[in-house]
Amino acid sequence: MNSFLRAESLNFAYGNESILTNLNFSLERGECLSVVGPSGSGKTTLLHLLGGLLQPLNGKLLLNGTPITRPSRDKMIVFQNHALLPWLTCLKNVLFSLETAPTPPANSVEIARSNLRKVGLEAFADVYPSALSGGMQQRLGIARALAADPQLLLLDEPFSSLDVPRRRQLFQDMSDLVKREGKTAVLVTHDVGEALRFGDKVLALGPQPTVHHEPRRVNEKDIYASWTL
Amino acid sequence: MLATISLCHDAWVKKSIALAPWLVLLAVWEIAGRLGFLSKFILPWPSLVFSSLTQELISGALLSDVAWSLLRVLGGFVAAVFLGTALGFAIALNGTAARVCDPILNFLRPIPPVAWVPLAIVWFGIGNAPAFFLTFVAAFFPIVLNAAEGVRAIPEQHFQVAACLQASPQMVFRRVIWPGALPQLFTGYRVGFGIAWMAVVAAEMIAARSGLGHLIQVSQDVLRTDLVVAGMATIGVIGIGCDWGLRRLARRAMPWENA
Repeated sequence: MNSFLRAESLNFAYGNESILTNLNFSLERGECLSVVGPSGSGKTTLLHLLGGLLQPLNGKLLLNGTPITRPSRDKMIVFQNHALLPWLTCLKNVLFSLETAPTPPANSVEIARSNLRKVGLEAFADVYPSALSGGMQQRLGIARALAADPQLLLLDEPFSSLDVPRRRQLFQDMSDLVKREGKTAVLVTHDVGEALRFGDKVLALGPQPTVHHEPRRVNEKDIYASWTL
Repeated sequence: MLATISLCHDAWVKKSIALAPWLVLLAVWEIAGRLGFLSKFILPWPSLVFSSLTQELISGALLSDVAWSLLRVLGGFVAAVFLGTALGFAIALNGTAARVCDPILNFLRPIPPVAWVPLAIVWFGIGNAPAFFLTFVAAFFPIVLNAAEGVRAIPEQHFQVAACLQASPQMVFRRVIWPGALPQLFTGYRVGFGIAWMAVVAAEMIAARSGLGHLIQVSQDVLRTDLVVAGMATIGVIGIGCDWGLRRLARRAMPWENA
């Protein structure tokens, strides 16, 4: 009952179109949850619910036992298309996370630089995001999210725009970073293999949402097959 | 070194290509005039215009007219920048403001600035005041429209990032709204300034005793078409100069656009 993140009988609909129905899952602190499903299954909607950008139709979504009712700094979303502010340099994009804090730290610039270092972008501090490759932009998005020091990191298909080799490399780097930082993370992806490698648990959305507690024992084909039930 | 020379050479080629149509036009115009195909009262040729322009410059009359016109344009334009930007932002960010203002703006926007001249004279008399009013009206609508569209064009996710970070309204304005709207704002300023120039000439032709519009009107009355064209050319040159200045200002204000 005291899980770090818990969804209880969660329902959500856009108008008359039901997107998520009776969803239940829980996540302990430091665990990673992969959310996988076909297009339109409600993956991003679930992430926005977890981020407080949307409100459930009914059911409960609890973080540390408290209902998620609005966006806050303890749960940061890394958006699919980065959502970087193009008018700010890489350093200032990360600084944005710090200067918006209720009490901005005195050593904000050092913290921002250290977050850029974590994702290998320290040399690009004074560069505008438009000059970065897609993978580097995504790493910058992760650095910005980490700078806010959230309890929950929400990753919305962060590598969908990359080619396969870069995607694999960045996926590995990000998995290592999340584990090293000890963050609780939710990764939304449509790549089942990626979901099984990343998550301590895998939530497979589709006609019959299922939580897999031992992803390493799950066969990719079974999940793909469940989408067409 | 070779690369630098090549780049300079390319720049010169581009400038020459841009200048070529002007030089051809002026040459054909001048030759046609000197060969007697044109009457100097109907369309004076470039050397006549240049000569009159020089005399006006030396006498100081042209500079005085330019100064008056610029003052009137800038007065109305600056007021339009402040009020238009503020109203545009309010319309984009506040549904009630949009519902109240949009119909009024859509009604007033298509009315050409010149149509306001009779009312401007009735309200403000002759002189600077009606010209300020007309340049304000001319610049105001493009600025409001572009300010509102500039804010509306900011991707929703930028606001969502700010919401996740619990950024204060001031911070959202400083880091998201203002820089996000800047490219479209500058488009509005450039368009507004151009229309304000058109309006000031119209206003000065009717309701002023100085300025380039007044110079053109008075010159036409005494059949000095060389001065009419000189006035028109001056307006064109100043317009290009001001637009160049605004574009430079935009580049400085938005360094990320050139990154």
